Amino acid sequence: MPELDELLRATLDRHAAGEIDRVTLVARATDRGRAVRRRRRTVLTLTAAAVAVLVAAGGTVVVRAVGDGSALRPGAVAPAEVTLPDAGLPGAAIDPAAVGTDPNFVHFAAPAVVAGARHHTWSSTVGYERLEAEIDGGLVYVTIGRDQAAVDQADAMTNLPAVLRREPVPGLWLRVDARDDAYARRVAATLDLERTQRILLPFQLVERPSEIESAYVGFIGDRYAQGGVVLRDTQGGRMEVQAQYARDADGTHERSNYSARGRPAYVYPGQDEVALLGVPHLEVTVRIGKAYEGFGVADADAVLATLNVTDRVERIDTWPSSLTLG
Amino acid sequence: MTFEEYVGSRGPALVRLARLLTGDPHRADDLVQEVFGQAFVRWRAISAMERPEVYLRRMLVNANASWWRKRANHERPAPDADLAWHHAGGTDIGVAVAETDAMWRLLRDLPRQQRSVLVLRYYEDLDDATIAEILGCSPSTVRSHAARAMDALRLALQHTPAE
Repeated sequence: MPELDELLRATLDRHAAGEIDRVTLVARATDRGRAVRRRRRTVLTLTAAAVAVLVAAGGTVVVRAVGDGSALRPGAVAPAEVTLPDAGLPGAAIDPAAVGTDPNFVHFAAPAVVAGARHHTWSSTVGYERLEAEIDGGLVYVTIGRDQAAVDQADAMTNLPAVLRREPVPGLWLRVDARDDAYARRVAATLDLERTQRILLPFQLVERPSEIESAYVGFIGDRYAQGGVVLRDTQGGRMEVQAQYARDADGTHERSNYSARGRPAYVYPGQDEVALLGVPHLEVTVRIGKAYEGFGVADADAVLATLNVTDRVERIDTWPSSLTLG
Repeated sequence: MTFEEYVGSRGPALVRLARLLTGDPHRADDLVQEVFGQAFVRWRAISAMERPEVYLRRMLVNANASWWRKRANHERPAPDADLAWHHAGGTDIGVAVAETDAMWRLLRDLPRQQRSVLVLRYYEDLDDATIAEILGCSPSTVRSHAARAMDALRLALQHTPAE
């Protein structure tokens, strides 16, 4: 009964689809793992013993409790390794009409949040721009857009208890989601809405089957974690080009089973993802299958064959100066 | 491959699988985090396995089974919350959406093992031997679950009026 098989596959594909933030997934997985490990090591007993030794020795212990708010310091300067370049364009407060119109830019900055964050991700897409960060033991989302409904829609799934909404200038909506109202207000007070940053990635698209709809770049601490762009064609086809940091110098571990116009590549089973091999410290992939139907391996081929990729991912100043060439 | 690299590259696939096994995106996230939390402390051994992805899928299936066992009432996600999740992309898809919605409801009503077999076979495209390894049963049991599930779906669809 082929129709039943098809309907089953379509149903499963549809219900499995949906955005998944890889930076957050990794951060939460490692947090959870460390918590499990801590429990197993019966840390309380060990800590009590250590404190007893310190007290006996007359020592002073300074402890910054997780979530005490001290990581968010107004005026703090973000490390150069994670500072996106100034675009030299007016920020959201000066030109609100530009917000959410070009995935190459985010029309605000948040140096204090970035400086104190355990991980953070900038993204820019149609209708809104956003910073997501984990700071002081909790997640924070800062979203700006020209339309309040679009901003609310973007953050509908954050599920954080406190939501701060403001219209700092006519036509610009700001939303901050945080663990409590006071923290959301503190975050809002540190934002710079007069500056525009350029979203950069350690790669640059040269040949592309359609235009970029959205872009994102994420860091863990002061190290690049992952970033990418989503392309969408007029028929709704979707392709995601992503580069994820890899500890190994030769990038992805898979052995080549494919050639992207001469560049060694790997096509994953299912033909839904193609990886470019041999890029130092980066796993570069194009995802085209399942949720990203509409493009094929030949489209991924063209993108990967012409992609400009930095060979020094740790140095943001060596990255291509724009998401696309030409 | 380090734990972080694995989660970054293969974690989303596990989240998608969990969405199908649980039928609830929030519980899927919780379940995947639970699995990764356990995997983190044993990562050296897991990463040395020939097929760590099979082992993690087995962990996920077992974690889902444990969740069900802990809840005597076998609660299901509220229909509104579920629809709000998968309709986020729009509501003008028409008949195809109605068909997949009907199929999704039928899938969620299948016994857990039967649904797991269909998800692993039709979404993950796994062979019966691998599915058996993940579910901890024999390949013939997999085929039996699959046949019963497909029969149930055919029967239910014959009695479902077109929307």
